[in-house]
Amino acid sequence: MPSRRRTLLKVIILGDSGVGKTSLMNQYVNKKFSNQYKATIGADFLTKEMQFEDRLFTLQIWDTAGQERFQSLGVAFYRGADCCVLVHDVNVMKSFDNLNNWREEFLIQASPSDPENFPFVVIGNKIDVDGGNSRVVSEKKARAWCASKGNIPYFETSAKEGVNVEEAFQCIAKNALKSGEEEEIYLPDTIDVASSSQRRSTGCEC
Amino acid sequence: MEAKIGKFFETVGNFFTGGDQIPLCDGDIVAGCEREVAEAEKGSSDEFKSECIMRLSWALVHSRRQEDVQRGIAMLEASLDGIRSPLEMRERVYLLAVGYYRSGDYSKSRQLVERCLEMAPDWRQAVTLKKAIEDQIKKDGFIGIGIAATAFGLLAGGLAAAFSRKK
Repeated sequence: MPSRRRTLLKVIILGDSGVGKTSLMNQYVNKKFSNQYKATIGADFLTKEMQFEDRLFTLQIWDTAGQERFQSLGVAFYRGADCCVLVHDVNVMKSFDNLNNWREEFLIQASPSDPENFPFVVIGNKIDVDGGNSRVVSEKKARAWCASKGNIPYFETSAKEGVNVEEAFQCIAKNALKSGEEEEIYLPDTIDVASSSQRRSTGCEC
Repeated sequence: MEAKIGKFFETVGNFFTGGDQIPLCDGDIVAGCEREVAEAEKGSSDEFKSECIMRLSWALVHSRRQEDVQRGIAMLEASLDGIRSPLEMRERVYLLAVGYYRSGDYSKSRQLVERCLEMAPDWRQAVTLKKAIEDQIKKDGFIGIGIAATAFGLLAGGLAAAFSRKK
């Protein structure tokens, strides 16, 4: 009987204060949105069970504070990340300009083993505001930046209306799975002493 | 179907191992924050010093080590008097709630998180913390009932045995 293996994937969401990081996560995991903006303190995370092909995995999504006050705590959150999501508000140019800083800062603090190929995903959020009339960051401009940084996937979303959020996170999960280091939580259905194909990847004898 | 079973096991597992969604902070992060505060003491602006202390408080109450959590609680309690803005108050009260939660004082933690929700009813972090507290209280309750039931069972068994011997 095949054993059920679960994989934990850690995803970090970064971006300026107020771009919608918490709302994106909340919309994706809980299908909820609130207009009341309350700045995240430090960081916390939500988990979501996902299925991809025949595998089950747990997506651990870390929501970080955008305010500078908490930025140097970054290392505490970035450690072990399998994918990093960079969010900007398409109505605020500065939030787009800062994407570069967020990306660099992440690579410095997280020190991934293969920085050139570390998976990022960029999200341009709040496309719903004012029917799109107050938009200042064009899709073309955003895509150009993404292409220049190693063909980073780009999504335009509205966390408020739930537009494209599911698609963005599906991509995020796929990217995390593809290149992340798997942390396997091994849950055998039966203890089969005879089977030689079962191996404990953690190597602990509990 | 498999996803549902997986979810069920995860829920049961989390219930008994206390899996929650409050980050845990490693010792090296705490040490880094301490160093930062020490550096800031050497003549930075008050605002910067206060930010360094805020980060240290965050690290302490989220630390894996109890002594750090206790220190964090003490620092935050002491700082409550000097608070100027509602944002600062909200941050301190939330961090204190986390500290008390991690140190096992669930009723105190719950009081504080209720205060957070009064200040900001839709605040996701506070809602998450409140759920974690309530799950923990329930778990303790089950364990308490379990102990009581076992004790009662032993007592009843003992009495029954005593009575049957008397005959």
